[in-house]
Amino acid sequence: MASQMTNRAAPSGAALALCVRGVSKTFGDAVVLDAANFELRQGEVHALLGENGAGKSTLMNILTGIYAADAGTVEVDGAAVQVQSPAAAQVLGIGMVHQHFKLVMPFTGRENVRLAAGATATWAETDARIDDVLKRINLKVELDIPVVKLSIAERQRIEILKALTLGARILILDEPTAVLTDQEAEMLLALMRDLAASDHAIIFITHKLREVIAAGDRVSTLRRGKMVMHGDQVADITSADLSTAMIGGQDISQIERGETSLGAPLLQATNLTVFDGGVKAVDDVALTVHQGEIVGLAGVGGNGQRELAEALLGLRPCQGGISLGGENLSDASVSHRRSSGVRYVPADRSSDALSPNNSLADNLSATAVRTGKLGRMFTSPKRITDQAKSLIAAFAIAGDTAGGRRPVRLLSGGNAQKAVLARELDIEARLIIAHSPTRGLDVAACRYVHDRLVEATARGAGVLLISEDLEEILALSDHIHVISRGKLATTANAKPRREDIGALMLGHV
Amino acid sequence: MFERVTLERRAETGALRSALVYVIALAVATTLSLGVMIAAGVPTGALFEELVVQVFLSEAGLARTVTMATPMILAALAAALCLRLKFWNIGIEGQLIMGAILATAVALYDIGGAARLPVMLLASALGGALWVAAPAILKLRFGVSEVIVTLLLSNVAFLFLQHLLFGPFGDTSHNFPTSPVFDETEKLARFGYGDTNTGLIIALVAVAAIALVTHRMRFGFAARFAGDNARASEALGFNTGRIMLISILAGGAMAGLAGGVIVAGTEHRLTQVVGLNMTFNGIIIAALARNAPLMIPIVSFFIAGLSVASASLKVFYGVSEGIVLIIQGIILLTLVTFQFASTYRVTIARQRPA
Repeated sequence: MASQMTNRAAPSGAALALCVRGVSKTFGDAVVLDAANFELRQGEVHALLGENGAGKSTLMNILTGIYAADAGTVEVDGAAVQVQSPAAAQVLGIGMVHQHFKLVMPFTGRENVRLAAGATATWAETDARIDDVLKRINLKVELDIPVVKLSIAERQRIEILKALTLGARILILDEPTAVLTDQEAEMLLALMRDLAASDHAIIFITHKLREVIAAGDRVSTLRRGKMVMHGDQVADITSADLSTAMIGGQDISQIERGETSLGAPLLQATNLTVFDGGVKAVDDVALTVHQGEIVGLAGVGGNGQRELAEALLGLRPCQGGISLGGENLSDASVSHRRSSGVRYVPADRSSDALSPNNSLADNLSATAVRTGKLGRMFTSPKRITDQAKSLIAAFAIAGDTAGGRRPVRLLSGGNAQKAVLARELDIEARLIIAHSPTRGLDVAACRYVHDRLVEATARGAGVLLISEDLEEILALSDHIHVISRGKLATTANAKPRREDIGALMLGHV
Repeated sequence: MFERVTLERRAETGALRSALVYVIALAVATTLSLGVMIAAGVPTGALFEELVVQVFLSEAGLARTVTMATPMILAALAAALCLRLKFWNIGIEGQLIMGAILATAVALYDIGGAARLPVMLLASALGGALWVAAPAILKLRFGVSEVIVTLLLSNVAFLFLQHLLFGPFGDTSHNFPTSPVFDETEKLARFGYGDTNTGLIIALVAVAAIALVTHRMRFGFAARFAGDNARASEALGFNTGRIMLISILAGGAMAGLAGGVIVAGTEHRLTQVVGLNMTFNGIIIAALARNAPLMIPIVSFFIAGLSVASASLKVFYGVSEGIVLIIQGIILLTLVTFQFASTYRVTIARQRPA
């Protein structure tokens, strides 16, 4: 968002598309929404901010008929409505792109849209609408490949297309830019402006303050279930105002890494090629990470990042050489590589890192149990909880963990990620492969993750930071590569300018 | 009218709430079951006598119930070990039959000399493990559905059993399809109460061992982790395939051991009906015990009582033996329904003033 978007319509006099009054929602004892008010005008992009757990998703789930509110009213176009089901929301013209996508994995994008259209349209009609939407907007989607084979970013684009195809006039985007590159995000923001100009109303949930300033007309902020900033004009406020409203005065400045001295080469990958279902996902990659270095790997999702990370960890077979501090690990098992100090923070923590129905303590202690550190044959529950308690304290895993006995699935995203870090960033970690470690986390939690990664490099560990968030890459990395279609692109500069990175992300031939 | 009804997953189900739901579910299931029995022609006045006194309180009845519970415990362990790793072993009967066949072979061909009994029991466990090995490897290597393979292999095992009983294993002194009766050194010792025998001790030792491994040992920890999220356990360096294979083979071994305990402890010979209904019994017990090894003996005891009662209901009141399957079905469905209700909250949106 180098350039401010201009030509913004001032819809201050426009009619209300949506009006929420006094909506409350509790889960058990937890008050998630406390008499929240919210107004959305026709033709505006209304940014909604709030930390993880502030209640944004709950409010949106109420608007889309997934949850029923305990109290309060919702008006659409001035008429009181009961949004009793997602189908009812669709009829009312409320569409949502969820942070966690609602797609049927074995279906193609086209089939998913047809399915969502249900009985409201024939397949031919749906296909025509898809074409229509794609003509209007520049959205790169793979419509005829099963969704399961697409990357997170590609899946999200299908979701956006789906909502638009179903004719949403009120469009809710839940952190839509979290997985996009700068260029794509900019395109999306421009698209949001276009949609607003054609009298759509858009609720834009984001953590990124600069996006609010770049694309929002007005902004509301939720904090702990209460609306603390209420439809203020974006033009009248500063990013400091926003961050204060959001987290209540904490320091949220991006970490700045000074010059670091590089140690000896740690990870040396040569001619690395990984096949995924017969397709070359990683193509002849050479990569070096030194001790104490953070190597940033930027790229659009689905360009081989996951395959590269999994090959380095030993989860996937690959061709080429991998060595760590001189030790050849090319044919080593996952457990061998982990014993040598390889650690992995995957992009999708709930499916690739945590065991959701087991306790937090079990999840935190899993590595220690596997290596036999908590006993060769037997593992007493007491030693597991003791180990867990010290990690919970050291990594400030908040919330009611009941001494680590609560299952991990009940933790918030930020706390779950802290649990993964607490397990992976142990003292013996030498190479940390962190894939989108801050995806979906709020500002304070992001800062926390970054601090811990930097801390690990201070101990001499090397970090391979794979991320689609360019801010993160630019702020942390000593050396930046770009991955595109499985190939690594590097400029002469160790830290290229963001425009150059962006060009490499999209323009690699 | 259902537009206003929504299902919401409860954030957390407390231990007390789960226990309460479980008890209420059992009470409802019992009431429904009694209704079914009365409808089937059992006099109301006889219910208590038949279902409680005759199976749990009289000495002979209690002995029959405990005898019946012994192989059920092992079959339920077989189900639970596999279910914990999301492997649907519905071929417990087949594994049990193979266990019984191998134990009988050891007895008939006089293998093992002085260690005859231990060899028989080992052979039975081996038979069960071997019979589940093929579906396990097919599943882990090639993703073949274990549901179909284990189920169909049960039929193969049953036909093989019949082949043996009408052929090489048949007792030539009469024309019934059974093996000859075992020698005294090939029988598990009896306690003197009905047919109860040391097979019970074997079953309880197996329960204790599996509980120990599951909750206190590294392997059990890994199995719990892999059972919940195989991908994550793989990424953590656990050898997930090996963990699954060992657990499943151990499950098969438990089923085989159940067969060994039946032939060596209760029947003293191989018959066609060995292991009848044990797949369903094992799965329902494991489900009621929520795959917790230590709960399995308790649940087995009550399910065994139900089976014993059904036998006498058949004799005295002409009620079909199938009634016990109906009742087991009622119990399982009721429990699953109540578990659903305790996991999800059904909310009816209030009508709000416009």
